[in-house]
Amino acid sequence: MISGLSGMIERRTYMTEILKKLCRAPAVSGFGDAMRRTIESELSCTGAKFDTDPLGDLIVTLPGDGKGERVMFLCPADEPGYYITSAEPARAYFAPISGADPKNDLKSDLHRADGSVFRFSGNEDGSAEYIDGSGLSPGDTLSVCSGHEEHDGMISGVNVKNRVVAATMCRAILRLSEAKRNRDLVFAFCFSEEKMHRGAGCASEMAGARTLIAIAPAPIAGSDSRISAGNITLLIKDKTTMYTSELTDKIEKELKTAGISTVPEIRSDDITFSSSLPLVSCAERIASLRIPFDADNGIQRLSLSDSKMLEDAIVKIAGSDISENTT
Amino acid sequence: MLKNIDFLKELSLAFGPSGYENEIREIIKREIFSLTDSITEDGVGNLIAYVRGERSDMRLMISAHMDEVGFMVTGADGCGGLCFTGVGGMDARILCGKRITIQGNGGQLIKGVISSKPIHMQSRDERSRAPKAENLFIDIGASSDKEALDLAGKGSLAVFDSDFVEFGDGKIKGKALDDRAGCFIMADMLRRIRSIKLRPPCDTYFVFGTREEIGLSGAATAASSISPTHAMVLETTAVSDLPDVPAHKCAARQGDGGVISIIDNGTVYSQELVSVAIRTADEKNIRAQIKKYKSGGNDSSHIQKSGSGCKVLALSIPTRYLHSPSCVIAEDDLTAVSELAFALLKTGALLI
Repeated sequence: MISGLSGMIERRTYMTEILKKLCRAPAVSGFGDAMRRTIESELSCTGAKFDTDPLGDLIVTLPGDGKGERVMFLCPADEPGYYITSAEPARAYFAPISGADPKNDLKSDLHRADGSVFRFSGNEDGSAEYIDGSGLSPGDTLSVCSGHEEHDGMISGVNVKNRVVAATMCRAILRLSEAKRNRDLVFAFCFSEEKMHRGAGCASEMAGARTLIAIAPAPIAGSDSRISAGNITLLIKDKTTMYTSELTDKIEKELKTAGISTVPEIRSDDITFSSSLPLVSCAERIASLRIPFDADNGIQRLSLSDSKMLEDAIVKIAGSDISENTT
Repeated sequence: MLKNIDFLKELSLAFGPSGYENEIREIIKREIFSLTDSITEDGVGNLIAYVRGERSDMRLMISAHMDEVGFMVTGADGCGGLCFTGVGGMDARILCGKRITIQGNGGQLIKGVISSKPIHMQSRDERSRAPKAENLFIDIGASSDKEALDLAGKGSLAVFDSDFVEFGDGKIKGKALDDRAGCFIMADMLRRIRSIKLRPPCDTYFVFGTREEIGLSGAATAASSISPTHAMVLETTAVSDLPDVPAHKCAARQGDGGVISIIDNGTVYSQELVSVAIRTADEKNIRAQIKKYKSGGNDSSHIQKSGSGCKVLALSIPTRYLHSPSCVIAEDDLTAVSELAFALLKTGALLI
């Protein structure tokens, strides 16, 4: 990797290119094949081992020399969208998946994995009843994501938050693949989070790591004022989970030595991506590192520099002794 | 006519609300005890019949639930009627006037009727609104609260009291066909395995599950102990092939065969298993249909998420008037689900 200004430019170019690819790959919750193939292709140069769990989550392993304990990083990579329930010659009927709202998406293009584009047919009252066009079949899924934009250091677009996190983790994996490792590093891209909230848990069971670190987006709305672009956060507690304080403290200190400051985050009313991790039978230590995003009219916005901070944090944690002597 | 229909009738008529499936379990045990390599009961009452397969590195869980929707007595209404709450989801609009059976304090079965304020006593507003369950009560013929509660105290369970009837062109009406029809198919599969001396392609666990109607906890427990790699859930699913329902909102049609789900409110089914089921139905000339509307949910959602995840397929019998005293299924659909499930088991096609 290149350092300094040229490194920044190189990273920005990388993020632009990978986000273009990820935005072209629909990943409606439970139907992540296209995105999984895209990520596998992106990481094929790393020599990593690829597995898919029964829910379709992608598990990427960078083998180490076996001296240290295996650490696992997990991120959500799916999105809300639409599922075709029945089709007629010129129109198809749909069901929203994971909170997709046809009223918000009425004017949006709907993308199928093969690149075809469709549109809702709207009613005068702003509702959407069916999708125009032939060629759709029951079981097809459609994504609203049509790409991303970059302005003033911010990445924005429909359903881009998980894609930015996935892109950031890809970039971290590429960096880590170049270095010698004393432990197995496992990374899971989860494709059923928005609907089933358990992909992260299933992938973790399959990988068998005792230290689990979720990497996820954190909504700025409804949070305390410290959570804003310019910070990454460490989750302390959510609705169902107390994160391992020793691990969280250790991560915070470790990141501080690398000049990465984190903000503690408490989400007492929310189920988060990492809420299923305490159910994992082998899990002894769990933490959740999060990147803030805001959303307005369905457009999600994340900071490019926060993504860089998150990437550096993953690399730093992966190379530290974070998992040892922590119970 | 369906073979062994008396067994389905016995299952339908038995008493078994969620968490109180003892009677059903005993009936099924009696029917299958000689057909398996082992039968166990777990801590939440699941009955698990194990059949050793050709290989043990894969484990197939075939599941149907024994419990049915019902009612629980919560107190008395001041006039000798029993207040109640639902056990499982029901439409309060269908309850008035329905016959029910309560398991009383001594275990005896007591007849009752669900009642509400008579229509001529209702205000115009009350008549225009659907009744709420909390405004209904169960009349067991008692003349005082004490008499009623002495017979069936708080916590007593009740189910619909309904006949099992064959009618029309191969139709069956009965209570609790959700999911006693699935249990019936599983018992039949075990019988067929034994009769042709089939050793399934992998270790196979037939789970007669509990508590589906109140949180799916029976299947979650079974899946946790079995750690299946693959699962096939045999269920019933609501159809809406009725007047005034647009075709695209009709989840399935009675008479069009077994229903293969792609997605419902709790589960995204394995796309590979869905494809295999469609192909197998086609090859074996078994009638099957894709569920056309996203609705409902079943044990699959917990089985799918168990352990490191499990590929799940759901095959359902299209059923009218689910969660009522008069569930209606077609014999041909039941046979289609049974044939498809057995074909998938026998060929090992699911093990991908």
